[in-house]
Amino acid sequence: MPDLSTLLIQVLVILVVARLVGWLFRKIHQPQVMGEMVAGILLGPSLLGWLFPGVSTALFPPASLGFLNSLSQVGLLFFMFLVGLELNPENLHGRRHAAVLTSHVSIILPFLLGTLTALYLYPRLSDDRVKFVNFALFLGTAMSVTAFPVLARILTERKLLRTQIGAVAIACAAVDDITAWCLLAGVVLLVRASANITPLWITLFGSAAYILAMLLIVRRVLSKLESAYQNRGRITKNLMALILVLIFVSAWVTEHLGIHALFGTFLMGVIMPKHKDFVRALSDKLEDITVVLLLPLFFAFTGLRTSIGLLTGIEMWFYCALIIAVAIAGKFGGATISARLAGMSWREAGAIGVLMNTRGLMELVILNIGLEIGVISPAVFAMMVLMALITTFMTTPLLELIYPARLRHRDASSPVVARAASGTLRSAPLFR
Amino acid sequence: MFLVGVPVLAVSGVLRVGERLRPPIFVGGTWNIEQAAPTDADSLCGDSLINPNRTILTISQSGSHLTLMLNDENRTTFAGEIRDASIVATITRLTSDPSLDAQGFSPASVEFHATVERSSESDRLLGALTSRDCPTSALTSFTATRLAATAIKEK
Repeated sequence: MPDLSTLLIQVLVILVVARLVGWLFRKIHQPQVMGEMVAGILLGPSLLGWLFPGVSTALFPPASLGFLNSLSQVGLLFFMFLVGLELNPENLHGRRHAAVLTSHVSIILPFLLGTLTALYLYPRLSDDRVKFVNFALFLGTAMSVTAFPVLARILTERKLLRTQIGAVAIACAAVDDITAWCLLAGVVLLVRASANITPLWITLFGSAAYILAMLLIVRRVLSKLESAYQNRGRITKNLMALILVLIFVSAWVTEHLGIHALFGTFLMGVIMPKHKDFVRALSDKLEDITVVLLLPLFFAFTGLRTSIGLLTGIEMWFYCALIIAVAIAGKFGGATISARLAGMSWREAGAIGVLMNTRGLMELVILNIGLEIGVISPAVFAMMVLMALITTFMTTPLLELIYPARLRHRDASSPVVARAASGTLRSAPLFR
Repeated sequence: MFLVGVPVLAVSGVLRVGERLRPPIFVGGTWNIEQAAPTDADSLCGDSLINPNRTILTISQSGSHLTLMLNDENRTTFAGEIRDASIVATITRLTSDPSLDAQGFSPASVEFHATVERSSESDRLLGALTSRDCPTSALTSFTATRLAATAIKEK
């Protein structure tokens, strides 16, 4: 039984450090969430455990981490629901060609480069418990991710939402998110099937049936939630309880089908009614407790698992640099080239590439799943956490370089996409 | 079509080629070390590192790179590699122990050697700790068996 006072101290320390480092990062024009991710690393074995091992062990005794993990997992369930809730097919309105081309190429190219890199890394950083197919597909998926919520936050802060670039980037990120989660569900399915955790046919048929039922039946039933909201003018406690039950049922079903609980909550968010006021009201109910309290716990738990000390010697740092270089080349390169082919100028295409290269929190979620199912080792996990931090950190300064403020202001005053951009994203409430 | 179709074909080619690759064998996890029957040649240094009453060895593996942690309390740590079925690791951290200093023993000189024996029932490590600085310059040999997850919880 976990000690309550230990847990309270842990939450207290994590919250204070996360807010403090987040504030410092805002001072250097980085998103708050970037600072919170770094705060998690600072509290782990990479800094606190390295400098003050006694303090680290007293603050985060191994026996207490299970409870911290459970809390952070609940936070992730809500977070993925909110990400799904924010996704809206209207994001593609009027930009279908550029968005579809850019998003597909910006997934398939890093995916291909990720699997190619796996050919080199698998004999060096994996072991015979992991099949090459699982390792390669996971690496490809992890390279393909774009952090929709962090991207939305950066677009809002840089006043890019009303530009063509912002609109295309957010549409692409939405498509990327859905595709990346489907890919990840496939990888989890393969790994669990090869470990005989859930029979493959149950997972395959069950997942297909569940997704179809959610899209064709549950989605229609859920439209009544919106009616109930409009009748009362607010989300009542009973309505909120019902939504929470639906979130947890969906998580439970997908977890038991073998494609991970997070996929279930994400899917539930995707099929929720998309009326602007309903989404805003629901986000407001869940967002603060998720983003301010529970996600920093997830960052801290990720930090506790991230041991940069495992990267010993030039060889390991070379692998780390290779992963970062491949991730940037695939995502930045793929998105830039495809945006250019879709008719954008090189400068605009470059800005799209920089934005799509933002991996942030979504990458951390995927990496934690990879570590849990044993498809990546702790050292690869640490390397890819560094990759996630670096690709997210570089977005703002690179964007400033490629697409400076004067051009952003000029494009923002153009009426090209103002309606769709402001109407569909609801000013990026996540990480507001 | 070209931008998506060609990479998809390439990915399937990569997956096919990669099936032939052979990664290092898996030795990660928690092992229960027991000292082999002591002999006159057994080193005092090794005795100090391995408690005959069951010592836990935790191995963190990333490919051929290994981090080994001995003893839950002292946290003696080694870093090393696995090549085929052989593990060689050198010590990277040892909690200060006055009894070791009194023996004129430098922790930095300790090496961990083991061979992996795989079986369908349970994998085993057969190994030894060596030290150039030990007064007897001899080995402390041990065997280790992998602990199942449930056994780890019970401990």
